Amino acid sequence: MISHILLLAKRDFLQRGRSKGFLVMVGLSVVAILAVGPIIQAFNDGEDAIVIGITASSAPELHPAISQVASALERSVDVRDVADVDEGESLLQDGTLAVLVDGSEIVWADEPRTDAGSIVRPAIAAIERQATIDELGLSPADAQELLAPTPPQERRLEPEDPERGARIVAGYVSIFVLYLAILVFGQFVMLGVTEEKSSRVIEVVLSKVKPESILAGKIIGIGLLGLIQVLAMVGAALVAVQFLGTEIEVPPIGLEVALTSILWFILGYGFYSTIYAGLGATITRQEDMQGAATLPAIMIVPAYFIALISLETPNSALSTISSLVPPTSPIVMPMRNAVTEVPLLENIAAIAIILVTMILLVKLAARVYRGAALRIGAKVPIREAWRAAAE
Amino acid sequence: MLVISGLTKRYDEVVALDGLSMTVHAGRILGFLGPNGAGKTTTMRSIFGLVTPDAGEVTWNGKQVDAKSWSQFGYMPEERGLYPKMKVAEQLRHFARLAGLDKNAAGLNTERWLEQLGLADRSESKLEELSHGNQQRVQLAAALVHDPLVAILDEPFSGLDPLAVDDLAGILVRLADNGTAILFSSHQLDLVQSVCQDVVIIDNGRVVLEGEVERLRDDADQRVLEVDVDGKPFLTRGANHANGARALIDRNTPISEIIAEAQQHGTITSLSFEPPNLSDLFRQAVKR
Repeated sequence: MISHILLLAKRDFLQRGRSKGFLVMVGLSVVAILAVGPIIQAFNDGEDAIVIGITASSAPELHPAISQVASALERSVDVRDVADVDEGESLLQDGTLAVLVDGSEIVWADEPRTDAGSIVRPAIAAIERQATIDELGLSPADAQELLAPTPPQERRLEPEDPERGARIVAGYVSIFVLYLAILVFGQFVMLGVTEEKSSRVIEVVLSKVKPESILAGKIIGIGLLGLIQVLAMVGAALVAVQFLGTEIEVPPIGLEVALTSILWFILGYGFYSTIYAGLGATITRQEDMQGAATLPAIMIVPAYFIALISLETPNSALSTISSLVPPTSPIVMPMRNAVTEVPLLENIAAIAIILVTMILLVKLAARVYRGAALRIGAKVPIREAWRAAAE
Repeated sequence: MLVISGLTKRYDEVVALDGLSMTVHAGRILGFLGPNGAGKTTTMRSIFGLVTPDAGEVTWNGKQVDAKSWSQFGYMPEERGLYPKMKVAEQLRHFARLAGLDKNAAGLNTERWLEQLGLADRSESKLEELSHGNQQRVQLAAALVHDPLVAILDEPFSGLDPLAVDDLAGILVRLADNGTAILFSSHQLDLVQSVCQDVVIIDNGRVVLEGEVERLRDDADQRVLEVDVDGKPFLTRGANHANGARALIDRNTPISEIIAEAQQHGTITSLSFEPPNLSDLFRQAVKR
């Protein structure tokens, strides 16, 4: 039985692994991920200068004040004098200006921009403060004392996490890779099962091999290809992160998230591909695949959205429960692991639950397979396949 | 000895097999005949556990067949099919390995069978690149590559040209001479008559005629008489079935009288008197 599984897994691994489609897919995904770094870099470089318009009614000190604030914030700005409010507004509207300053009034096109606001607001405030100081005739020492900041006391319940940003990015990347890989390789399994029906080879194989072994062989063979794909993407992501340098500090938690993702790819793929395999046995024609593939797709999409919600509330009841049980756990648990400290017990429980579910699922899928595999032609209703296998 | 006993299979209201029993002997070829829908494919699938019968069993040398026996059997299903995009030799090695051969033996057997089937030069071609006839040869090779003790072949000759049929029939005969038990179904009754030692005819899921081909023919109650007078078929008295010039008559009919009568009408240009052939027996047994 084991030797059957290995022989069939090897066949699928080699046949599909040697296909151009697979090689191109792996290559393209690696290139795409590696390209993300330079693209973000280029994007940042190009957008850096914030264009600020100033009308003649603004104080002459405004220009140097803006430059000063900008350099303190390490942002580059391009301050432009505009003739009047009308000209400024039209430049604002066509997007040339990020913000317009008319006297002490700040004019926005629509929504205030955080980056531009954080530069012009303190600059204007500083000038007005200076004007008040001059008006009151305060000595520089008095003025300094008056203006000396006394920041309010603050405290937080959770210690600050310097890796928060990195964790969020890692979580995003992780669930995206998982979602994609599980869907793509799950469908490869379905395609493989269906192809064996449509080419009729299935009856020859079934005359020697048990349905359970055929399913296991197919899932393992294609799963190994999926693992290669995931390893390639995770590896590319780790490399890409190195190039991003200081902006996103992923490396310290990157490896941990990468390992979690790989573990959950194996579990999630195992779970979903079993469903795909069982459903694949009910159809013969590739045209019927889309319909048959709907069920697992509507199972995994909610998992993806709950994982996105878990980004902000990783310890809510929804996130916790859906990270423990399939079909959501393969996507939600890696996300929680990325963004928060999940208790070891919860991790172990989630793994145990999905493994047990998988054993039941394999039996179920094998029975559907047994009942449907030799019925070539129209889609076999699952209930009929189930009953046929009992006879 | 492969023994099928009391196989019964019912699909809702349809009775596919109705207590079917038969025996396939080592070193002999059994022709498995019956009209479409008689239950031939269901029987063959039952041998491999692809169909679970409601009653009855299949034994090989006294033991119920199981995974181990299946690896020693070869099967060519009615629904032809292998892996279209896999190379021929690679494919055969794969099936040989699935049957339990080690890597070395699988390679040697693959080579030998490709040679035997005249496909040695196509071993590196993908299956889908082969002609229909050659694909069928590969299909047969896939069933036999592990030198099975039992070969179950569902219409192995359908769709082949006469030369290919002769080739494959020759291979089956050699295989049986080497001790393999062979069961094959076919609608080509002349072929079955010339290749098989034994025959089983089924209808509606039950056996209606079985035995050694020659014995069945000799023991039949009829004889076929064929008389041409002046080059034209001469209709005979006592014929209960006429098919052109062939007349099935009672085996005890005094044929000298018929010949004498024919001679009164002209010159006899052709004359034959022989046991009924398998087609005749088939038609009688199935009564359609």
